Amino acid sequence: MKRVLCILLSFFSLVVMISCSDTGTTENADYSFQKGNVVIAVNGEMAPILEALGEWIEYNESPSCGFTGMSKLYTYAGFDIETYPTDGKDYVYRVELYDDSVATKEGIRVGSTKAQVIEAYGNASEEGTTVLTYRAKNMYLRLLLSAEGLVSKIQYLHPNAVDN
Amino acid sequence: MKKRIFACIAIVLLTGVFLGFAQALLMPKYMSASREGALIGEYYNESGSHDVLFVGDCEVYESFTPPTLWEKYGITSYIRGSAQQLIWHSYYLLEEMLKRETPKVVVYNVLAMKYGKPQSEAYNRMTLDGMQWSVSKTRAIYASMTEDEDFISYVLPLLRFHSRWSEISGEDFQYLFSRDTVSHNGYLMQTGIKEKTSDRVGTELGDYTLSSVCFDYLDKMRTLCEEKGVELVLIKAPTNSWGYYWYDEWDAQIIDYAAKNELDYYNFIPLAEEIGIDWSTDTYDAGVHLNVYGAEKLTDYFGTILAETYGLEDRRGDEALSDVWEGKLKTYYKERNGEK
Repeated sequence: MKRVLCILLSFFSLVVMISCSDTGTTENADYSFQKGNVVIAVNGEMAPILEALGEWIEYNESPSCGFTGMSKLYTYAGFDIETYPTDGKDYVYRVELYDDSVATKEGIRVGSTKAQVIEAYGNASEEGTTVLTYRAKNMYLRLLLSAEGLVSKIQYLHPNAVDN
Repeated sequence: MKKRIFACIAIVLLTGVFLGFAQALLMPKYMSASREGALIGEYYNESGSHDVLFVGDCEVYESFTPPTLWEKYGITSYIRGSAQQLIWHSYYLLEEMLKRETPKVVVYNVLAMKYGKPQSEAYNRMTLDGMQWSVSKTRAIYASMTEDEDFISYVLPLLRFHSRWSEISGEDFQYLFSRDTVSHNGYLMQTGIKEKTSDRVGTELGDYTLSSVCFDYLDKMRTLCEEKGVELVLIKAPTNSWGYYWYDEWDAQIIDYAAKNELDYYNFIPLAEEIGIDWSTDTYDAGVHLNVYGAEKLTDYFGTILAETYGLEDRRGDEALSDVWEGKLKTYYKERNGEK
């Protein structure tokens, strides 16, 4: 009888242990965009960024299927920030520098040459004819190039935006 | 000795009953929130076969209304859609359905071709937990699991949902043993209106190549349909918003695949005006999905194609079938008119 109870208790403990095991860790992004004193990093919480940046030029939102919460897209002069919702808060999903009025911390902006990018960041993790991708711990930095080899867009991306 | 054996059996049975009860209580019910999660399981309540089966993501269960297809064309249909249904989900759902019935046409919405990898445990749950156990479900789980998921948690969902203890509400007790039907043959009705005001396009991508994994599953879907003598039709719903953007580069790859494999592909995005979609009244979320008014227009348009191109017969003369669908239409209009 005791043996049966022991077996059942062991089984139940095993079930609880499996179900309570930790399933994920969060690492800091290696690359981030900085506007003035505001650091905008992928997976960073959006509320303090929003407060620090002030009024946006354009705002768009898109509901996620099946769940409450919105993907939000804020457009500022020179860059966009897209967010994703988790547990009632918004986090940075993508930052895109779309014109030459802003630059990365490493001095790269729209219009920079491919050679300047490689000088600033080193060789890309992945290189296509019109794209250079740098893989960091928990995000990607992607630079899109025009046919002339000049940077046309700079994107700080959540892995889900790349690893589809 | 006998007493001990009986005691052991009793303990095992009681433990089983307790765990079964706990699991039933803790599983999400998807009745008042995230109703999409209830869609997959509802198929098993449906009896009889259908002329048309739809598979795919939200763009099928929000864009086509089976009651309209019956009311206007006498075509029977079922939508086996779910939120962010990835192509391997669609394939295994189709595999399961084609063991139960043989439709004339299978319709697959191609938006999910953009995802070549498992995306989200929460969305996996909304599709996989609703499936009854079968070889198809087992294969679907293995194809779908993200890195953090375990097969065992699909066998014993209690392992996944035990932490819902603190969230248990009256709904969990109310729907402990049975659920309400949330859809109309898989169509999830939305009657709200929110005008589309932005024409913003999707962000530029580094690489527009659709994953070979997706084409492998599309091949499997095509082969499965061929084996069963079913026509596979590819579609893209007319919705196209920045958050769920359908790029021309992707479209070209689908057109090419369809041509090479002699499949029909209907991209409804450029046909929205011809269909009669009014983006100020026919969407409930600013253009991401159609509402019931937009879905009825698209269904009417597609019904003509189904009847004329695929020769689907008008079955409204079948009395028994008409009785069944009269009941479905009554329920449909009750919800459409806000009486439910």
